[in-house]
Amino acid sequence: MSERDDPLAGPEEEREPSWRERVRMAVRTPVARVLFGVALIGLVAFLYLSEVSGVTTANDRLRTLQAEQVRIARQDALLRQQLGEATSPAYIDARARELGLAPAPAGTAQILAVQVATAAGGQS
Amino acid sequence: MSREWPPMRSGWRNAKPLDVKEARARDQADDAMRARARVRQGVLLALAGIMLAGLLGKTAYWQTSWHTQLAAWADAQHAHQFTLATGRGSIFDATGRLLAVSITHDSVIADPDVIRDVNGVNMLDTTVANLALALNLPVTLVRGQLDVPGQYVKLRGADGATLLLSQEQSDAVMRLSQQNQLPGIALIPVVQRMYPAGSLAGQALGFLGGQNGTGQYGVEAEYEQLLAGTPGLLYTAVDAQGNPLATAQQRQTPAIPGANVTLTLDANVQYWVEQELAQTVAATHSDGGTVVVMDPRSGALIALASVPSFDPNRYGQAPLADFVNPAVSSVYDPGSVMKGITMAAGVDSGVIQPDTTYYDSGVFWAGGVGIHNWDGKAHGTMTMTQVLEYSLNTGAATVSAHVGGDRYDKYLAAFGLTSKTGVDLPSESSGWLEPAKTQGQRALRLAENAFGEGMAVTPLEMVAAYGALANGGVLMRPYIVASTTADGGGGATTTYGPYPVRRAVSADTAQTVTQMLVDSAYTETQMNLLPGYAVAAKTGTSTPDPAQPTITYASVIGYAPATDPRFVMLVKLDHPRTTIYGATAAAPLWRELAQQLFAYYQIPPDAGGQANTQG
Repeated sequence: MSERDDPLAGPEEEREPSWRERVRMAVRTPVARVLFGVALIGLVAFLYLSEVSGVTTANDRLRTLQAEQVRIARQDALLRQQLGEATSPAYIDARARELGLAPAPAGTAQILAVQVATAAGGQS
Repeated sequence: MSREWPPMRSGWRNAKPLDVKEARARDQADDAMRARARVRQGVLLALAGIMLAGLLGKTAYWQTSWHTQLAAWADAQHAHQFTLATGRGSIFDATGRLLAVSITHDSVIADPDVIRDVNGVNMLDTTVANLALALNLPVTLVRGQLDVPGQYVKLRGADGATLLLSQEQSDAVMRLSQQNQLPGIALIPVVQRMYPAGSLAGQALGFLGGQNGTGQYGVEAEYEQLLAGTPGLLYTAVDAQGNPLATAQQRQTPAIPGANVTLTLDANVQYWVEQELAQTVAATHSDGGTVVVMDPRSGALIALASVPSFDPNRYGQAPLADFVNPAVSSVYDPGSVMKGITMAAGVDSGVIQPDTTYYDSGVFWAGGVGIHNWDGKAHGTMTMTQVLEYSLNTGAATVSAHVGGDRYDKYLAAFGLTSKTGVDLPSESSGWLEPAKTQGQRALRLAENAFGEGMAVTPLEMVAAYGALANGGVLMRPYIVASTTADGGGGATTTYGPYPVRRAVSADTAQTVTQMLVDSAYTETQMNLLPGYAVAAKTGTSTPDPAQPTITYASVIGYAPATDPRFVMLVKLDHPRTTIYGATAAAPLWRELAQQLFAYYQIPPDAGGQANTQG
């Protein structure tokens, strides 16, 4: 027999609402709705500002990298120019002469046509 | 109609009650006042309506008719158009050596007015000290330039030239600027075109000049559009410092970097040619000289040198005349080298063979004018090969007369001697024939043309013509650019050439004339000094002014090895003085360069130790 069916039992006492019911009721109040709305707007604003902040940071980083790229491109061109000077025939000729080297007189080189053995082992 | 009076205000408590008349009058006055008020309200409402309608109308007008213009004005207030600079392409030789490259330095500009008044404080001393330290310059030098009235100063070095900073100096100045230690100081990038090989191939390369730094002369001018690329445009909103905002909407036309250009020139060959030519010009006391080396199989130019020339790094110090490339732009009387072409015309038209003989009486009459041999002698019965060997004007004139004027002119055109070659270099000149109106004049010109007088050609035209003899009869268009690689070397590569123009003579004719030239060269140009190699060559000595017979153009043109020519080369000296003939002034240089080319290209002998059949 349940307590409710007991005829001797006194009038039913008001039951304490569960925490779920309390939350449900609290959410339904205007203040809660306003607070929820403010929180939602705040969250959206936070996300937007985070996004903008991230893009702005990326923008700054991009500018820094572009400046670095320009700097490296300049250095690259400068180094290529120095390499070009160091490999120019005039520079090599001058350096060779400084080291006591001189071009061989024209006509001293003899070019010989060499017969190459064929893959079959015979002479071509 | 009854009406209720409003409750009396406190002030009215003691007022005397109104009588009926008075009340009626007041009612009438009130009604009139209300009527007037309604009218006023109506008018005001109408005015407001009109104004609103006007505003709406005007808004619609602005939004429809002026939308584009207004949007542009709005954008102009917060948006900016940036030009996206693009680098100029580099130039390389056939072996990949760098011949031209653009490098960027910073220069320093200052605003002395700003420096003297930074929020009311004179920062001159601090700025001068910081700048001098960053640039490693004497303080007095910097102060002398900044302590002047005015708003714009470009800082100069001790030599008076615009100061171009090293990367370290630029970094130091940037660092101080970011720390607000250099008010009124800014860095401006300056692009310099550098030619690492100095004067090498200066006339072929050209240089950058003019207000906008565009290519002038040579490859720089001819390939300006390809080398320069296309600047891009970026249209976007900017921040307070004028930097583009990545978050803003952008409209961008990407920049197209300049293409890298690879030439057919070989820097090694070009260097030897320039060195040897300069020495020969000096040794023979010539006014100048030109050497052209071309691959007859393709028309690719291997070397293109002239004296005097200039260093494109210091083009401002060179006379204007040195910028012009004589090999392409200057014509000269070719002289007896034309006899090779005349023989080709004769053989191809079937009027002569190498062993065809004629009797040389020492004079050939044309148009009433007697034409003599260069030595003034009569040589008796001579073969056509001997005409080349002894360079007999009478024999060449005899051949051209047999070919006939019209047909001979067609051969000249077929060999490209009366039109531009079409080489990819600017300011090319065309060869020309002396005008001849009468029958006698035409006969005289025909006879003179046979040995290279009464006409003018560029060295390049003559090389192309001999190239046709060398490669079996096909005239090739000379060219100097072998390939281009887009996007500063990172894009697609486009190769150029060869460019066959037309068949000038048959392959049999080319082979016959080649053998005639080989046989004659043995004696005439002492090509036996190139043992083992068959060389087809002809000398030329022309006198542009008959009144001054010692003022000559001395030249040699030839190709080798004759059995499979790898190069055709022209050596021309302008007005040599120690010796005036092609065989004595120009031939030694031709032989010297040919020997170097044999070794450089590892060309084996083709004549088994005996180059020529005639000795």
